[in-house]
Amino acid sequence: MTPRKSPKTWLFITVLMGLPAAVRATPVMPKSTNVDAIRALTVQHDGRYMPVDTLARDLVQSVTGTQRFENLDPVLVLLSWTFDADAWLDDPIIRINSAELRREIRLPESVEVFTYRQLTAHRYLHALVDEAGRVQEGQKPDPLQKKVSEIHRKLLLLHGCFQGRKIPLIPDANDPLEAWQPISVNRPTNSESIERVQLAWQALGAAFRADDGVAFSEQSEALATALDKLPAAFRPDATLIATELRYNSLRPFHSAWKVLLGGTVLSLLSLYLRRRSVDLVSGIVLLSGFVLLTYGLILRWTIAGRIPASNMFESLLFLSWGAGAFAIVTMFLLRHRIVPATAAALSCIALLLADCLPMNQFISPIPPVLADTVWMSIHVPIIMISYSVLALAVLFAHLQLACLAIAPHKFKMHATIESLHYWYIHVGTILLFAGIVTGSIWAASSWGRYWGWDPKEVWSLVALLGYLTILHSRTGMHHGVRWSTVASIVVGVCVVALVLDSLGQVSAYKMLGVAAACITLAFMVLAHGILATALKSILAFWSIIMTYVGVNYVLGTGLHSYGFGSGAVVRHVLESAACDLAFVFLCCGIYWARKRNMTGHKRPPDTGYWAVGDGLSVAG
Amino acid sequence: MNAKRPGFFQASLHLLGSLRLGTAILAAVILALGVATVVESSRGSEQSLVRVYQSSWFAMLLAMLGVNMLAAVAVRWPLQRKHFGFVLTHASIAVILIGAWTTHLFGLEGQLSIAEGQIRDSFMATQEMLAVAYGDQSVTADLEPPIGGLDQVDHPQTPELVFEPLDVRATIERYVPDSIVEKRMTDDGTIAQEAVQIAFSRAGSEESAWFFEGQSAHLGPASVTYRLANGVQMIGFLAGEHRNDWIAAGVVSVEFNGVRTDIPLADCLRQPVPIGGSGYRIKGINVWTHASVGSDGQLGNVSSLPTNPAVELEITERDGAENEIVDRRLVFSEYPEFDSNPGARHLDDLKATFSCPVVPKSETDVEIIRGPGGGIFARFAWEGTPEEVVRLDAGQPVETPWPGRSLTVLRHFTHAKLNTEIVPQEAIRPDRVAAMLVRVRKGEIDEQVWVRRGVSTPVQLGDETAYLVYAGKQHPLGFSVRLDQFRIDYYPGKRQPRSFESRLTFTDQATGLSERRLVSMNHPTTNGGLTFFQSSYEMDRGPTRSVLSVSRDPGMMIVFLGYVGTFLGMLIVLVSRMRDRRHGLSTASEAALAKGTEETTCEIGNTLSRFPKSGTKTTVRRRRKVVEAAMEAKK
Repeated sequence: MTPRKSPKTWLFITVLMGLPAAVRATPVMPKSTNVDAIRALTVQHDGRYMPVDTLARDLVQSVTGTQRFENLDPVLVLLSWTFDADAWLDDPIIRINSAELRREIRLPESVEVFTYRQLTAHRYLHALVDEAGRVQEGQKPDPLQKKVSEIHRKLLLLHGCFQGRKIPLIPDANDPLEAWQPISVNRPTNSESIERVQLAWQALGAAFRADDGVAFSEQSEALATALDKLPAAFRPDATLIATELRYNSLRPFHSAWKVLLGGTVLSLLSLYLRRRSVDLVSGIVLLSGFVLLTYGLILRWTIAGRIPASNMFESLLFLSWGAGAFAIVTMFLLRHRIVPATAAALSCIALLLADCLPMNQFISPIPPVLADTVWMSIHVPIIMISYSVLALAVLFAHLQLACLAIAPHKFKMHATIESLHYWYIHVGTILLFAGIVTGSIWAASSWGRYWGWDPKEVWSLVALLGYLTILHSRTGMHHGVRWSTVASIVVGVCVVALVLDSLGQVSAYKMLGVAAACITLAFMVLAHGILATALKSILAFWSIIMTYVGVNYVLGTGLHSYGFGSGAVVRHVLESAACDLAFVFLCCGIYWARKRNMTGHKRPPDTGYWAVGDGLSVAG
Repeated sequence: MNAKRPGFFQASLHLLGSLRLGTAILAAVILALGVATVVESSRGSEQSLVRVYQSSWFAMLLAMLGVNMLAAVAVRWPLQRKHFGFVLTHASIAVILIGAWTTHLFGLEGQLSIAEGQIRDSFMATQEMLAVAYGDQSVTADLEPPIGGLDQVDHPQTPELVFEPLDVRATIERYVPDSIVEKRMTDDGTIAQEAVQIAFSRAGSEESAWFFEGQSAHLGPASVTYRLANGVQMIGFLAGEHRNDWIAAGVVSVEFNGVRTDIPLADCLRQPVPIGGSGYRIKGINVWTHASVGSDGQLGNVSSLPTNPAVELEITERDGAENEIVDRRLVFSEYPEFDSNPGARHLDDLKATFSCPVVPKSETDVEIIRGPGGGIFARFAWEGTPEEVVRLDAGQPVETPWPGRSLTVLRHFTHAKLNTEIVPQEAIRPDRVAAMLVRVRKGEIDEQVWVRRGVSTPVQLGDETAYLVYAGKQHPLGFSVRLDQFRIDYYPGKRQPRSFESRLTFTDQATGLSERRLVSMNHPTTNGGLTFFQSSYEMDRGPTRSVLSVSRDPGMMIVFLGYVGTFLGMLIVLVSRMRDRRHGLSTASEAALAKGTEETTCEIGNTLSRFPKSGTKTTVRRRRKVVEAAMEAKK
């Protein structure tokens, strides 16, 4: 701890010396400047080579939370931060969304966006950052500390931008893996070529501040040529950089979901209109959306140099692609209009989620275990395709619920949906099994064990077993009490007792949780009929969502509303769970209410697909 | 079903293989798995492994599942062609479970941490051992039956360790799954040493620490120090509470024409006091404990703590013209040379100074102060909030300027002494450190020492010092391995590894033949029945060490075989069901039909019309025939 002067002393001195207070300036946002030449320059960032465009998007998003800050071109914002830093000091840039968090950091609760100076001058934040920095390695930081570190990281990034240290344009002359350097005007150099770069950079800055479009374009040209002449141990392929620029400007996934949405609406319309012409139009729209999505995937694959299947964003792309492909194929093969319509809807929803949820969309380096293996390209697509098939199944489950509530007498329609639902679950379960198996073989080849009871593995197994339970709960097995019933009850009771023992200290929450789990499982095993099957399918799908997002977030953290890892994702999931629950209750309520009034209509006994046996009843 | 009563064997086979029992077991497994993940997130992965995944009851449950599968196959004996998919699937799942069991019984797993150029012929297995070492000699004993679980064991059946050269014998008295090294403060030291234990807690988190006198450290968001204050300093610290005491201790000294007059501050505040030998009178108008110029340019008092005391003095004319003010000046006790009113009219020969108890500036956010009378106080000097001193009564929390945090003096020792001892833990932590109480005997000497896992513990045996080591057991490889080179590839410009690889040379000790291999992430290599996987590396101390996982798993191939079988079986079932569907009727629909309602027939009719494109004319015709036949049968 270094001794420091009390602020009173400082104030005293300041006032006595009559220092002027800071003058607020508004940042310059040149209007006549064309930054396209700068946009295309190559930088090294985040473990790979990219155009300045991507770098600017990444930095602006990391600091402000959105790529288009105040709807400005990110390259322009980055250049302004670099060349005109003083003007940004008092401009609100950093957003702190949670009011609870603002209260804990003692920031004014009515303001959401804060300036650099506000935050760096905030004493309590300093103390918290210090505290978070002292969290020992291996110790888990608490949610507040995590959020504070996040704000601190943003401030550091912004500080780096203000200092002009965040645009590494100068390649290393000797080592291809060494970090590229930013252009530092103040550092004297004995290299003539670097000096030329520095001069061009300085002039560029001046032109930027003066909003001199012509000079700026000239200087960007000069900078580009000067940079090209620098010695470099490694330079990426120029076509790759061009590809990435195209990928950035096209935003294929953003456009694709809009096209797919149109296609989905059209195909739903054709479901109602039953016209070949509408079919044709919707097919063309869907196909073009799908082609756009495929093109985007190919671009991303080319840029990353590996299959885009490494994180949640990329896996959602695959989910969307799988469903889209299925929609296109079934559109031509099946006469059922509902199959391609639902598949298109799923494809659109998955892509919409990928594009709109706050997820990291940038191409980031992947850990060694994912790199350099064919298993990623086998395991992830299989799993994602199985998820998309099961998601279609759950769509049908919801459709079934809606149908039961709206038209409880249309047995034929129920049977059709039921049949499709069954086939989706059957196929999806097999694919899920295949996905788990490939994952297991991958684990064996990289860690030497085929199963390690990792929560992700366990929850994928839970989902698989859940679907197997659905497939096995046949109508025949519910009749009569036999020895097998007794045995089942004994097994169940024993396991519940043992499970309670393993939970350690007994608390009301735990008992409640176990009781809820038992009731759910009893429902999964015992209930049958069209309604029950739909409900079971929904339950099983939520276990997949648990595998997909829940394991990382729900099991990992506490219950602070700002405490969830990349919070927003989990909040959205919880919200949609609540919506789903409301929908289910609503449909069931309407169905039961109408069923009670229903006379004269007799529902056929449960025949359908769930009753399909293998020719031998072994119910008892 | 059969009219004939089945025999006992057959009945029990049907029971074991019943679908009802099977789904119940499935549900039970789901419950166990779900709970285990919750256990893992709240109590650590080892707890979930020991309590669920590797527990005997979970193994029983899986065994029951396997038996159920096999029995379900057995009741279909003799096998028919249509059952092929079913039988393959369920038998294969049993095969997977058998493979897992084989792994459990015969599998071997361990780690090998090796530096470049090093040669090793053994690896660290998961089994544990205890060793007594002296110099470079040692004896080891396996912990048999294996201990190291989550339960405390008293007097485990481990053989006595005999270390011949020193005639040392060691036995394990107790094993505890978790221990901590507790630094315990006691008040029985031989020399006087002040220490306080302070808690600085926020709702839900209790942070406390001991502070020796003069020691400062961080506690939560604040820096804290502990100091003793003498009587005069204490008056300063308590100026807020007892302002009069502080004023009474203040003295204004005036020097005029070489004559120095000391006037108590209290006197000159009350009335004008004559200055010796001058005829002037002096009066104190204002006193500040912590003077500072505010934003309005006026001098103000920012806190009651005398860190920058000042007094404003008024000097009036000698007798006769009492109210004529000759001079007015501001005197800072800390800045005696400071001229408060430069350029104004002065009595140049008069020099006034001010002395009083002053509190030094705090170098930490919180100062814990013990006065001569034994009272303990806290001084909060956190920038941005007014300084204050509050009294701390033992055990009574006090509000602090940090929102939501309170400060408490838990204990205060005058002869503090720090003792370290190993204490077993009741609640087992996720990153537990097991410990053993070892009884060591040598001749007359008989001692008991706690040995923590992975920490070499010295034992004084007369003049000799032996070391007890409790660690993972070294398992012989059967050959030797040398790390020729370890390389990390980084992503460009980032200290994030893209991949890492080890170049190994295996040498057969019997034949002396050696072979070079490359191991990298996702690309293992096998030698002598053991497979080497690149797992990670250690860089923190000494040379970089490559960490390899070593395993032998005879069950893996059985499991993979089961995977393939199950997958194929599921596919066959799917295809055969699709074919059933295409042929219009499933046996169950038939059964339903046999039960017979009008709607069911409609149902079958619907089935016919559902996939009209996919069948040929003949199949449609055939289906229709089937339906007609079924109708007939119903009638």
